[in-house]
Amino acid sequence: MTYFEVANLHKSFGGLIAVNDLCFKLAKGQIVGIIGPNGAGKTTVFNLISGFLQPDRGDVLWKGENIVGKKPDQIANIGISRTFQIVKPFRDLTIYENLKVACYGKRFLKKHRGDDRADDLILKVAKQIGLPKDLNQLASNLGQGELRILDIARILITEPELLLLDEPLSGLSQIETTMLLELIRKINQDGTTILIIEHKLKELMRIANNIVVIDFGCKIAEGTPGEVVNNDEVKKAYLGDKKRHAAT
Amino acid sequence: MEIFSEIFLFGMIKGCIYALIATGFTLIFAVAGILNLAHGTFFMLGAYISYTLFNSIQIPLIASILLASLLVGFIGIILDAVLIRPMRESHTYVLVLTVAVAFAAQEVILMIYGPQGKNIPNLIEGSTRVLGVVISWHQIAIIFITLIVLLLLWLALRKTKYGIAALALSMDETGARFVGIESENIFKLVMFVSAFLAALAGAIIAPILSITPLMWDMPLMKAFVIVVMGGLGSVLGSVLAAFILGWVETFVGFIISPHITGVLSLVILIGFLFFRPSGILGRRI
Amino acid sequence: MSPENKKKIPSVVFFLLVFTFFFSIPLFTQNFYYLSVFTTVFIYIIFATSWDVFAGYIHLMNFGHALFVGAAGYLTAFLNIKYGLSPFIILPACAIFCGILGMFIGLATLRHKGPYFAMLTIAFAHVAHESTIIFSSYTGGEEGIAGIRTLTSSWIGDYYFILISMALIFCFLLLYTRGRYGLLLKAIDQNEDAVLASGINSTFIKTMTYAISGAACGIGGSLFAFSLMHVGPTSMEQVMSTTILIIAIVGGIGTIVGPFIGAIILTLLNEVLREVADYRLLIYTTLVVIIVFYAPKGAIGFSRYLNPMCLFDSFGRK
Repeated sequence: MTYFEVANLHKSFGGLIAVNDLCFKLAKGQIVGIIGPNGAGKTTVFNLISGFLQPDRGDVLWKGENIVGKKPDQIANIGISRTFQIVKPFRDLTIYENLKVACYGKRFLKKHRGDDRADDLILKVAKQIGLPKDLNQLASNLGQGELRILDIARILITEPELLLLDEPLSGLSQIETTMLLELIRKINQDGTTILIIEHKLKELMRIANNIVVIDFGCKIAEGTPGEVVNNDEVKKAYLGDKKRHAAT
Repeated sequence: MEIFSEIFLFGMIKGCIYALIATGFTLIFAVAGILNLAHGTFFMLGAYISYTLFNSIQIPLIASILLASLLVGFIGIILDAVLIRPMRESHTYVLVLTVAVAFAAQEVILMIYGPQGKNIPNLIEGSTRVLGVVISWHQIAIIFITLIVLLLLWLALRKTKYGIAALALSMDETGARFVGIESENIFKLVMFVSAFLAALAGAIIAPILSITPLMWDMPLMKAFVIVVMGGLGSVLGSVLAAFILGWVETFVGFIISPHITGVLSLVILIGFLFFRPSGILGRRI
Repeated sequence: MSPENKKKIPSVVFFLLVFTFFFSIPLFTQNFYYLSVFTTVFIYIIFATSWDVFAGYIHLMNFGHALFVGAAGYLTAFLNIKYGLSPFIILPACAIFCGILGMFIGLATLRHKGPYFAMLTIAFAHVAHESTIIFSSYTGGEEGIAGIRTLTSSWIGDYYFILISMALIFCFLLLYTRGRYGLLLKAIDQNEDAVLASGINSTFIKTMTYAISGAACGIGGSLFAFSLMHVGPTSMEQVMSTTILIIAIVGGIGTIVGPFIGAIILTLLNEVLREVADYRLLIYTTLVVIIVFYAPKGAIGFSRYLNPMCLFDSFGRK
């Protein structure tokens, strides 16, 4: 039984095909990167997996069970959590409160009965992940990098088995990027499977086991970072190719 | 049969008034993204100011109506500048402020004019027969005025610089600003037109309805229904929906009872929002 | 978290004082007029706080809250006059009826955005209002239904009945919003996607809160009908809905405490300005415009001495 599989996933908006019969698999414990030019449909894939969008056809199989049709909160509760391309903090709530929200999800409540433990866990996660010490400050005080970490911290509280990160490094400084990569590596070492959409290819190649390349909603290549970088189709997709674009 | 001619004609007249009310309301929502709960107030002011100009200052009726509508157009711009523009980011507050204005205006009008209904005479006295139905010349005038105004509006939206700019803004404000469209000026213009149309509607229907301080409620409710039916954001849709509503209400009024037309229109609103929120035509103007 | 507890004390003390004052009023005066002024205050507190628990937290403006006032009022008239049921049965019945009504309306309307939602709330309230005229054989039309029996056998009894009901509702709403649901409502308002992504069913919370908003208002509506011994279409008018909304905004939305204070201020103001009662609506609308522009947090934003924030949530703010 495959750990996680996307099978013939298809979604179009009006006449535009966003995701085109996409297939790929994940094994447990992997870090897999999804790359592709802008507008290739990568975030749409995340939206389809996480229930924010419903596919026209195709399956998403999680430990053998087809999760298509489930609502976003249901999917978060079965162990698949995602972040968003644009950070989504609760700006007028404190850092503490931002994290506390996640403690009211069904998954968390099932695992940890009793509110007292929630506080401990929040403090632990906040410290581990490197959030500012003063948890009572409003989220609107935080910088871009800290907000990204906050999003991830909130997800981590739900203790997901599969984590979908949508361009986590976007807008970060060099130092923040290095720290976040370390964090991702550590989360993976603790047992979480990770699927990352990223544009910062150099950094992604450093931590990913496997790469899936998407263009125009189709998978055009798959393999280790080394294989993918040398792939002709991939080069054409990023650098542009007269013949390819004339055909579309 | 005579009854169908009656329904056709009287429904059409209703549709004309509704079209004038609703197109302005839709324009404001489409272009500025706000729901102006004081829109019915413009309707009411159109009637009251016409009344005052005609009765107290003795200006000829047709001029009173035009002048009143223009004045209300300017009131619309003032309202926008003072209350709406500073709060345009927060739709919530705009709703609250415009409803406050609506009630405040009601109270002020009540204080100035009292609760008794006022009247103004028809534009043209007398009646005639059309399609075998007795219809007043004033009602025919309503139809003509409306058709001319709607035609002018359509031309303005499609052919003039400002109209096209308004359309662009309604589709994508950021994009429109990028190509240099001065959104503030367009908002002001749209507000003026919106208020003007509503006031005109109020003034030309005034001889038939009674002019009261509570008359702002009905046009607002109709505007709600029509813009949802027509697709919030579609002026053409609103015009179509206005006439459809006019005919449906008249039909139901004749066949079942005139008392339920108010509830009927709101039930239609609720029904559309349940089953077809994009309206008859959808988003495009 | 002791600094938080220290700050909590002034707020708790404030409310203890206020309620002690309310409870002791009949000791000083048995005048029907004064007592009824205060029962009106208590009822409007229920209306405004019940409005706030939903609209104030999720920032979806509910312009048709009076629907519940009227629905409960007519149900009260029906159950009390036709069946002679006691308030102890009628009040819960109204709460349940309005709660279910709120649930259905919520399920229908909550998937729509702000402007649509506002239109729908106005539309529902309007339909209800006009229905009372259309079905006047059942509802008494414009005149409404008179002859509802009093709550208890004395004015003072009525006074305490309404005061205790208000206190219970107020405490309930306070607890509701200071705990998990208040936090989640605020989070949903700020970023619903993130709430969903955390595994929380936001639709359920929104609908449940709207139902609670309706149920609480229903109790208020029933008490309103009892206190007037009459129910009519004016209880469901747009003016009533707008007044409730204005009270909540002037007090300070999204706090429960704000509308509590707003109701006290505006209802008492209403009585004090009896002579200028004709201008009441004008004053209210002017006030709300001033508040929106100059003090959007409402009256509650001024009470820095109390540091009301600490009573607003249990998470220890600075």
